[in-house]
Amino acid sequence: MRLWALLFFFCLTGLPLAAEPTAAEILRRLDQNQLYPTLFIESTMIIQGRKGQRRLRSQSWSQGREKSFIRYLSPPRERGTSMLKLKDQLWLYSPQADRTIAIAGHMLRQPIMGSDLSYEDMMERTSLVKNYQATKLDNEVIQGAGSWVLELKAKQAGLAYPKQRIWVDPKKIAATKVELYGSRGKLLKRVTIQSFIQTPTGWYPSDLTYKDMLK
Amino acid sequence: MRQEPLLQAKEVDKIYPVGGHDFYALKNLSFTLNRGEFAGLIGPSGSGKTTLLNLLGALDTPNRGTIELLGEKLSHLSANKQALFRRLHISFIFQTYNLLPLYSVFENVELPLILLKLEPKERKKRVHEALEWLSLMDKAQAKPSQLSGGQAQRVAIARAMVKNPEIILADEPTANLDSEASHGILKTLRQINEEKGATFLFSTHDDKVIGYLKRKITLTDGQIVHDLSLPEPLKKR
Amino acid sequence: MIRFLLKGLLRDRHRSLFPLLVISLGVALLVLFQAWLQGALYGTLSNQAHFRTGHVKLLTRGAWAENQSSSLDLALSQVETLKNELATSYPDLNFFPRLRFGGLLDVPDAKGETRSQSPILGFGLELFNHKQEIQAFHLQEGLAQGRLPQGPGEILLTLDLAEKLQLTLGEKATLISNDPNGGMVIHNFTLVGMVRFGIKPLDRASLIGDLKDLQRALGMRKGATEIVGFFKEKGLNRPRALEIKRHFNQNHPLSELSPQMITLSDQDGLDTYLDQIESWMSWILIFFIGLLGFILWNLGLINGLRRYREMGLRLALGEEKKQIYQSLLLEALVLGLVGTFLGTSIGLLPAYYLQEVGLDTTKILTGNQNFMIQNQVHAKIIFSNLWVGFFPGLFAPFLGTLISGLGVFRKNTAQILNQLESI
Ligand SMILES: Nc1ncnc2c1ncn2[C@@H]1O[C@H](COP(=O)(O)OP(=O)(O)OP(=O)(O)O)[C@@H](O)[C@H]1O
Ligand SMILES: [Mg+2]
Repeated sequence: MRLWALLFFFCLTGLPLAAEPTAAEILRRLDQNQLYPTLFIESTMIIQGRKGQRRLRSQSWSQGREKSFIRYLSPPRERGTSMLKLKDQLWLYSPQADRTIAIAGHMLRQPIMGSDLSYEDMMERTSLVKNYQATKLDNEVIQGAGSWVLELKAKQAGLAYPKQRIWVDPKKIAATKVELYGSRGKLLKRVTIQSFIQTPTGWYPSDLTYKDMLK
Repeated sequence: MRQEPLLQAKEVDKIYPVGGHDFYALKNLSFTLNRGEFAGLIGPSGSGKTTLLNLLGALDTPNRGTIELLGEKLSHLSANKQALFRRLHISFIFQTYNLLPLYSVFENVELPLILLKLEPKERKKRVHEALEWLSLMDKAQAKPSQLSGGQAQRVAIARAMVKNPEIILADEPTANLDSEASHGILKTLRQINEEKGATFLFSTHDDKVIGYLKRKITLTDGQIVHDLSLPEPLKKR
Repeated sequence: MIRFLLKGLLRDRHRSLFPLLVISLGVALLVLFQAWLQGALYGTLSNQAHFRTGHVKLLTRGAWAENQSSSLDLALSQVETLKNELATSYPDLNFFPRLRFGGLLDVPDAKGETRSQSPILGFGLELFNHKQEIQAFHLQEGLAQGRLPQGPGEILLTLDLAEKLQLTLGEKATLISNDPNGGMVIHNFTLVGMVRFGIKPLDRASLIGDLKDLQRALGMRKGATEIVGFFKEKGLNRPRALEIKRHFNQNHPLSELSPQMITLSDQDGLDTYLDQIESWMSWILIFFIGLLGFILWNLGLINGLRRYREMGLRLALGEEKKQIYQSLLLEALVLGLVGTFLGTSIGLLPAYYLQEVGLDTTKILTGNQNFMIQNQVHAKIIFSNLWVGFFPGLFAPFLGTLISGLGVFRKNTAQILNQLESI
């Protein structure tokens, strides 16, 4: 299935930035790009399906890595549907059914709203530095600009993606492409980041495509 | 006594291949048996008595020479014709009786008549007649396993005589019997010969049998060495 | 003479009873085995047809090509129109649209939060107006508790699933699934009945509801994942199914979402399965003829020895060899005939029992969960059960006697008699 998503971001607060060329340092900077004490995002997800496109508008609030809440605004069918994440737990609320449903186990691997993004992907807000050991590969040239390439190996078992490859823009020190691999080294998903907004501590992706490589 | 030839062997050879070479069980043997005779082939073991009896009874064919029964050359007949000849004209009495254990005495005696396709009524009459001749009426429904050796051989004799054959061939009929039973049987056989005119040819080296014979044909190494007919009447015993 | 031989046959148990037992037993086993195989294989096939494949089946080209039978985004649209078209074009079949989907069933606690949860396999069937679908899914017979759905919002679950979820009759549960566009579907249903199919893969986690009701819940008003067709009479007609498939497919476009007809044989490797059933039957028959023939041949040899005295005597009494041989063969035929009659009757009894009662296979079969094998496998008595036994039942003793009898008739009569003297 071909499908991609765009995200627009609006409001952020953060810390000052620094620059280091080692793999570990780059990883730390990447973590920093993602982590803010509080974060509010309003976004549109465009899902390219077999029968055409669907647009889902949502608002999300988060605090650090542990807490976040998303509410869908449109289309009407999904309006009011919300998700709450606390640590490693996730709930879904449906106003139509007036039910709070725990998302766990089998359900975590299911796609959200028919996109290529799974609930698990959404949960994955863990620290790269904490979970992965990075090595620097040879630089590559992407769209005329040089790019650092990092290979990340999981430090412990149990992560959704035991291996990642990240292409980093040296000027921004921000990921422009991420490849997520399964336990047998198979490419599962690819994320490409087309544009960023600058924050006090770094660069936050404002337009990205998420693709399930197995579909 | 009628001098009517019933059975004739002419220049008969019977050869068995033994260990790669030919063994002559009978060699250039000729003899004639007349109707009404009570004769015996005597001679040491291995002299060819049984072999000759088998040829005469159309159970086997000679390698050379001819066997004639009632003027027909048996050896020239097809296997089916030979069987027909046996069915109609020849009866055997064996050393080991050869009764069928599954069938009653009556049924054993009846079998030759069934093969001749006689009516049941006629069969019954003839079987009873034969059983009376051999004093077996009270054993009619007995099974062979319930009989003594002498009784069993009498059943075999009843079976042999019931179809009134031209000739009865008896191979060592008393070999398995004690002296008393042997004499009883031999007397009956003589009686059948004399009163019913049945022709008998024995094979034996039993002196008791030899004593009853009217003609003694001595075989040695497949050849007849003596052929002695006793004058009538036979001495009474 | 025949009467005379018959007497002997009846009196000699080694000659009558023993071979008769062997023949009867062999034939009985064959008949039972055939009925069993018939029941097990065709029962499986019939389940496969009813629950999965239909005799023919309509689905989108995309769904068939990608082997996605429960993908709603590859579902058929305008199902009513399609169904009417099928019904007029192929009046010898009944057609039923079905909705097959996956999802999650979530049971709330008092506060409305998740108490238990399980993935499910969903079936939307025309339950309200069509007895046939209720019959095809054996819902009435399979109903263990409660009743069938009668109105919107009512569902059946399999007993195993209901127990796993600890859901009782009248309680509500929430279905979480996707609509054809991938949109989230969260819909409440009431459990009105629990069924047991006796088929492992179905019993594990099936949810059954009315087609219209589920179409509405899943946001696909005129859609269904498949339309199954069943011959109105006499079950599957393979050539006709093929003809219908060709005819239909010639007259429809080739795009991903246009309908495509497939037959039962096309699915789950059932084509080879059907062929195998047929070739298995002939191999089993050959095996039984061979086995029985071998046993009876040996019995014949032993009997031949035991009956040496009789043969020799009958030859001496002037019976022709040919006659004796014929009488032996006649005896074998009589035994074969009687044995086959007996064996067929004996075999049909347990076959009938297995047809009516069946055999529990849950303990025997553990691995293969893909085929719709019933937990309770039944035999099926068919017409050929009545005559199949005659092949081994008659041939085997006849062949056995033919071979063993030769031994006696190669020998010279004098030799046979000579041997008697030494017995
Ligand atoms: N089928 C056969 N094959 C080979 N030799 C045989 C065969 N039948 C008989 N003989 C031999 O032929 C000879 C004559 O045998 P036959 O049985 O006629 O003797 P017999 O006079 O009846 O002896 P007995 O008094 O012991 O019964 C014997 O030397 C025997 O070994
Ligand atoms: Mg002898």
